[in-house]
Amino acid sequence: MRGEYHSSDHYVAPPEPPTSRRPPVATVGPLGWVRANLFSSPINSIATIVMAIILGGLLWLALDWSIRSAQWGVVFNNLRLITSGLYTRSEIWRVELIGALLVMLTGLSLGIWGYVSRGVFLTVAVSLAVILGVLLIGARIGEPTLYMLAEPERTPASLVFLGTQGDEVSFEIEPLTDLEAINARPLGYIENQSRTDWSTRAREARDGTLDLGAYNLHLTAALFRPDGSPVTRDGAPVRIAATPDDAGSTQTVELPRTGWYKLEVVRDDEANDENAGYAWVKVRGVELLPSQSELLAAREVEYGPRPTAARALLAEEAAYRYEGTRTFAEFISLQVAPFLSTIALEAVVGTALFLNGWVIGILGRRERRVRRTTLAAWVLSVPVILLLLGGIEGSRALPAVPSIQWGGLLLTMLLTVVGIAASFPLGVALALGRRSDLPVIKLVCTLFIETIRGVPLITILFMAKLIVPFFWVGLSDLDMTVRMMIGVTLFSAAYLAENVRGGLQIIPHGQIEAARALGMNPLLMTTLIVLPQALRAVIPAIVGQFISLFKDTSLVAVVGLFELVGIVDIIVSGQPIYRPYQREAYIFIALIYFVISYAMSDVSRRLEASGAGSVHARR
Amino acid sequence: MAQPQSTGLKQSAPASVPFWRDIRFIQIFLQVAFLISVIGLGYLLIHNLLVNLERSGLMINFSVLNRPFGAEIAEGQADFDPASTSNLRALLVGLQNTLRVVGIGLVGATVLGVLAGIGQLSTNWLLRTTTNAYTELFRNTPLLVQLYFIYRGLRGTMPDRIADSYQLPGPIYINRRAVNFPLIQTTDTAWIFFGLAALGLVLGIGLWIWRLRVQERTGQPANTLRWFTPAFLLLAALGWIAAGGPFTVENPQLERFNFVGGDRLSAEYITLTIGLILYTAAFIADIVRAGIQAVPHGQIEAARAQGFTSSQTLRLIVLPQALRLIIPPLGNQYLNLAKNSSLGIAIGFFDIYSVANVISNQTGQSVAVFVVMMGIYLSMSLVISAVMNLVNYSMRLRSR
Amino acid sequence: MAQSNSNEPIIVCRDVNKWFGNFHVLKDINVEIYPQEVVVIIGPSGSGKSTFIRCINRLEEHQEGQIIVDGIELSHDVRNIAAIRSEIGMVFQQFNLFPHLTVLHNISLAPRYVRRQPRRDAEQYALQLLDRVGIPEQARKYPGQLSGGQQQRVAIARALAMQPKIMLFDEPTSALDPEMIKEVLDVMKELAQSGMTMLVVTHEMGFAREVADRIVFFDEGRIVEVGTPEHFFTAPQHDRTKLFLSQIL
Repeated sequence: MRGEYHSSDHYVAPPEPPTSRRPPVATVGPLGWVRANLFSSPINSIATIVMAIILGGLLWLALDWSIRSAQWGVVFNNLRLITSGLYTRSEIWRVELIGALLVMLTGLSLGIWGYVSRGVFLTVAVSLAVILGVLLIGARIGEPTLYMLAEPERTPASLVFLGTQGDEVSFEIEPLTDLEAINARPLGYIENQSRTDWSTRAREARDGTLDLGAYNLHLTAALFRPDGSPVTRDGAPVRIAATPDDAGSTQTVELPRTGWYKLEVVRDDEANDENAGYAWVKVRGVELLPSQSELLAAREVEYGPRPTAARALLAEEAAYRYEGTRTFAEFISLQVAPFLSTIALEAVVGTALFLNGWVIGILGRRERRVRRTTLAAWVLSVPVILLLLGGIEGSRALPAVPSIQWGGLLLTMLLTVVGIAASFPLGVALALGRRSDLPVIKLVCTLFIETIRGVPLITILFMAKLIVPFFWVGLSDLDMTVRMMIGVTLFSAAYLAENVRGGLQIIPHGQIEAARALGMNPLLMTTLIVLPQALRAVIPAIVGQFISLFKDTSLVAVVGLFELVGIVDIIVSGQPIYRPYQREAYIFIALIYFVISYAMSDVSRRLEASGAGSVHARR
Repeated sequence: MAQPQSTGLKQSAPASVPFWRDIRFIQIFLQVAFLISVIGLGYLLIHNLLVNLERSGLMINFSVLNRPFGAEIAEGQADFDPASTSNLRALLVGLQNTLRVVGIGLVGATVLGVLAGIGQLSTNWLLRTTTNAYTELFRNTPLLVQLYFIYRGLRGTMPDRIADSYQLPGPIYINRRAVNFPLIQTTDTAWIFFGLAALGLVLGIGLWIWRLRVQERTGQPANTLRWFTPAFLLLAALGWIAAGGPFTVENPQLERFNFVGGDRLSAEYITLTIGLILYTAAFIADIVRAGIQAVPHGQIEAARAQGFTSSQTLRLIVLPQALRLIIPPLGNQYLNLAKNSSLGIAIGFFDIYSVANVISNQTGQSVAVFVVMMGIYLSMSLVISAVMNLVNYSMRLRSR
Repeated sequence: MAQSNSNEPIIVCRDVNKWFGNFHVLKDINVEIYPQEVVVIIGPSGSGKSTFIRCINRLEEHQEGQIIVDGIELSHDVRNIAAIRSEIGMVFQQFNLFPHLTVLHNISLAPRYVRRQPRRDAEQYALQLLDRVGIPEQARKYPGQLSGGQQQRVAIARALAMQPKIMLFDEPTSALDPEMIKEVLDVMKELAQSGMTMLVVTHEMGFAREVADRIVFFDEGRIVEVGTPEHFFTAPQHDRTKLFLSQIL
């Protein structure tokens, strides 16, 4: 202590407090943010720049790939398979009905218990607007060129396509007489066989084993109607004749009416065995039809039978592969628009149902009856859904659909829901058993839990698939789907038990003493005092386990069920045209998994943050 | 105060409790009943199992392990002969492949996970966001989808024909089937190099300990690496020269259809290892982040107020405390990685599970194979958790 | 604030301003602290007093104005910050002892790694300090095994181990049970009598009246009144001070 002070040490501020000022510009606002978060030190600045370059590069690659060359057709042409698997086609309305039911119930529940922010509505509105906008724009962008290779010793293919009145279709023949011409990558849809041949020939030409100069093809291309009459322009039939000396010009024609057309390509020197050389037949303005038999059948009903030809080649997606790079406009019209048009109806109906439920929920949130009905509806929905899906043996209205046919997202969700519903009580029971004072029960539960936790899920599924039928004769008839459900449930229950045990451990001993002091028997004590607190404390861990369960259902694909991963396996291996597009397919299902698990973990984080899960927060 | 009759009741109570109300009896009875029902159910199931196996002529028979394996294992063993290899040997090859994946996977996932976890706490927004996005993306999608994406999607961008393989300096050749790289083999004199290098290591560790002592005595910074590295490198270099080059390098040569010589890692091995590392590291990153975040901010302030540098703060104050929280869940992730390696079957990697599956398919001895497989995975899990428990025990914190 | 004393101030604050986001937390702080002086800072919670002393060893950054400690101005220079921090000891409300280290290590760690003292010297001095704060027998225990008052005394010893010229106390007794407050305050009094320069944020008015050379009253991020204890407690001048004192006394 310093000691001696004078009265002049006294300082008194003016009576009025000074007004608050704004902080210096450099430390707040966007500039301050950038400084603090990106360039706070030299090392940070370097890190920011290096990361920005790397990330920018990667993002650019990803965007470039997905816009210019990715083929999302594997996804939007197979949406049925991806969502409901091999479910009987004629009964698909049941799946749709279930979807509608669940969407409405979700909307209702959110209306009653949830808080739907303005952001969610904005997102929904913007998405709908984008869907409609893209569809409108997409329709106005021209089709890319179709390429077919004309070869010696082979009848050229004739293109069969569906044209709309007023469409402009043009075609030309481009002989490939030098290395430059054959090396140039085509830009558009290339017919599959042509693509293989072209790349082989191009390699041979580069190696020098193929002499492109020896070109002597005489080709004629002409456009016909289904009845065999040629399409004319100014009275003359529209045709090109290409000889080695004269490639012929491009022909353009406005289609006179809507219906089938045939572009017939003929080699004039069919008899000549000595012919050599290759040429592209390029067609512009023709729209590819989706390769789905029922759609094709519907078009034949509408426009009459397709024209026939010696080697007819339908302008359908399956027969072509996109090559080269797309423009952004083409990306929208070829990739985004078809996808959106497949889901447009479902999206609109789904949104409407959701909003409907939500409004009812909002209006009735104070009514006890509405809340009770909703809860009852959720509980009731489980048997209803199972009944709808499975059907009734011998019934005409609801013929049975064996569960082995359930697949795609439907099966994934079903495995998850059944797994959650069944493993939760089992897990709680195991956890209580492991904490039991009775050594035998404790030992058995511990043994079960630790054995299951010590082996991979896939071995459990192996057991469910191969060994379970031996346990009981009755079990051998058990559907594989049900067996997998059992496997997944047992596995999940063991992990859940450990989570619940964690919650049981943090219950203060005083709680148990208080319950005993009130004269509760062990059952009452457990159900009224211990479990509610323990479970609430470990909600995040339990939700985490449910997310794991959801992701783990993908493993049933390895033992041969067709949930999301399994169905993609079928699509890419069963439909040869989609084999090159596995990346697109897996990205799409990864996205589905991500959205659902992220939503689940987000909910659990909110629960955690709100303190609803914490024993301590309630003190 | 009057306490009528109560004394009489109290005295007679112990004798007159009927046994079905005696807590001791109830407990024993419950356990016996439980035990009997468990044993009964177990007996019933196993009895049924045996009867049914008998009926279908698939009685459990462990001698099946001695039968020849009869399928190709294109992984790990270069000179694998399916005809002369017993099923047991094949299982061991599978186990060896599993361990190769798990070993590298544990190291890789730990390194990547710790880096990403620290990245999530960076003050740099870009780094923070990127590492966050990485963990969210990989945690919220199934490992199987990731493996398929790498194996079927990304691998497709590699050259299909061996002749078109990408060549990296080394030379390392990459194509759709494998990565071929130079094989490094020891020569006869390599023991000189290894001996001297080991000596260097011992000397280096000696110097390390000596420097720590000096630091304690004088307070001067230990600079342990500044002493350790030259000592080790010097002796290792000496050994290298004395051994006259302890290694020979055999480059892969491109022959007509395949590479001859050199070493190779199959696409399946690489896919599985990378997939496991990326997936597990995302979980480890979150554990590391949570562990560091759980160290109260006051600890860092106290350290800073005492003048510790930020690296000293991290090393002396934050990490020792964070590790206590990190290690138990980290052990769980290690277990998960080991178990998830069984997904190799999905991409055709011959790990223990795939081999067991082949044997089961060929012989129908699913029960015997299942028992062996359970045994192997359980012992692997036990080893990992025993090690982690040991580490955990040595790091526990005392409080009153 | 005319100072009659001739020696140089050890801490000088000129027009110090600080914001948390857009919130103006310190407004034009001007104050000078002299060697061996004990200054007690009081004020309602949220008035910026803790933020102010945390600015002095740069646990918080000020955005405008100057803070000069022992002739070194606080800036972004890393070397200055390190030099100043080892001159200033700080004691926190929540003790912030390192739970993974024994009491002895808690005290001797910074001298060994920051001051680069030999381990034996550092530990010997640590034992002396423990003796000084009255708990020599607890050296081998872990912080979790001590009572709150003991922990806070260890924290004081830890700060003293760096042989600081200035000690900052940020509400050192606020997290303690009443019977433990006295043992901590006694240590602080002893420290003040030994001639340490001290800045103390506290609600202990008794301590302020008895030990402080000057009292600084903070409100809404500014210094409202400064004065000697007798002047401050008996004849406060500013209305805000009068109101505050009437509420707590």
